[in-house]
Amino acid sequence: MAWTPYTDKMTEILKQLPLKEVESADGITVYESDKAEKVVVGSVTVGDELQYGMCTIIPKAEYVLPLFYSRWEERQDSITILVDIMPTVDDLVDEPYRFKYIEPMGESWDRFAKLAGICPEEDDDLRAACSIIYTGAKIPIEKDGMRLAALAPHTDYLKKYVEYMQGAEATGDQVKIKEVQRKIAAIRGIISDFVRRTQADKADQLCNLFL
Amino acid sequence: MSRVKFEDMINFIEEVVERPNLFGGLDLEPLETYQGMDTSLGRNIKKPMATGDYRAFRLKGSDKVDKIAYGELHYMKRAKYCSMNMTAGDDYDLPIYACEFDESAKRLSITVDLMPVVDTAVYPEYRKKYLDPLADIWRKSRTIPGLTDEDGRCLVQRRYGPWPWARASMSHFPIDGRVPDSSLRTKIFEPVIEFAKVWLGLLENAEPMPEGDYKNEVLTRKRALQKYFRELDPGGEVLKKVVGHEAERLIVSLIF
Repeated sequence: MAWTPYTDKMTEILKQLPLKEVESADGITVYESDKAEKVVVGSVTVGDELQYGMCTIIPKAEYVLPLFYSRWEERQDSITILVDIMPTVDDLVDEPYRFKYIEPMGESWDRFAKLAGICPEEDDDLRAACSIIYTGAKIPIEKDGMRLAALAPHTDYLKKYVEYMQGAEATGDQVKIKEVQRKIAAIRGIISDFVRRTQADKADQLCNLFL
Repeated sequence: MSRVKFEDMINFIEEVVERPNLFGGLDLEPLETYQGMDTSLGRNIKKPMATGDYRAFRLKGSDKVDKIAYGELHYMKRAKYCSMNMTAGDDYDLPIYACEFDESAKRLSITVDLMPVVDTAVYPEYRKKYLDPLADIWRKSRTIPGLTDEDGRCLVQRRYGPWPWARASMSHFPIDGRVPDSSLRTKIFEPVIEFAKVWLGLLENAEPMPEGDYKNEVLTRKRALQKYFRELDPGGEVLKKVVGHEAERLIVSLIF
């Protein structure tokens, strides 16, 4: 089974950020960056059955950035994906934040709606953390080109996120920083719970590294 | 989709309120005014371009309900715009039941949701208490043709696609889309009624919030949500032309 080069393609884009490698093991690499607590990318394989990839960027709260999350579950006959730029504030109430980080992704959200297998993220709690522009799908693999088509939303959202990160400036607004800290902690909890529910064997390793 | 004649279009209130006796167990009394507006402006509307009827109620002897409002507008015997809204009083953190339903000869559009009044990512207990009860009916209803297309792509949350503020108001269990096949239109009653039953069940056990940060957060989000829909809803301008400014202000305030 020739797996899609998820980690390589994501890493190419991540390299536009100032990264310092902190840890690398079993196909997963953890970085530090000036505006992020953690930048993590990697994948693990289970024989010929599954390639499970993930990329998370957890921003430092003072930059009031969204959190980047990408999940890649590749099997012989299908790829299940979720990619999102998750709001770290209540973006119904904080309109400038939504205008700045979420609404510009609308064009991508519309474009990827044409992907075969597009569907809501199945996990209810995880979906509650998602933005209004997340892309989720279970893509049937009927020909090889579809594997790269499934990768396109991940690289597209990540490129945009890297631009956001490059343009972000720190705030001194302590109320906003607390709001962001609270939401980042909540999202980390939701993703951790999801990983524990779905990847029992490797859950501790994945949670420790990615979150 | 085959064209639907006006006389064959769905009588929304009859189907979702009257026939299932949706409010049968509640002691409702009419709201004579709502936020300073005379609610009689919404009753028995007879204008050159439209007829309709919007009604609003509160729970007798209780502050649990801000409003239960529903109604229909019929445009020039060509289309129907129907809606129902149930909003709890400001001391309660219940989500807002919101349903918009419109039908013309060629299409039926539907949105029904329990719109959360908190950021649900932050409050797991809110998700569990108020929204998880929607999970089964959401999973069943999202497969209705139109919400899931012929190629198996499920596109809920697309009817509000052009309005990000509207999408941001929704829960993670929205039923939102278009039903293209006239023979399948009536399938949409089930989520409309079942979501309403969930809300009414939550109301029964609702307890007032204590004063404090949480309540302030709830009211901030609730006001933001209402402001968006009342000021930015794209149907508002059309409604103003059809029923006049005063009646439009009332109807928009009742349905959002």
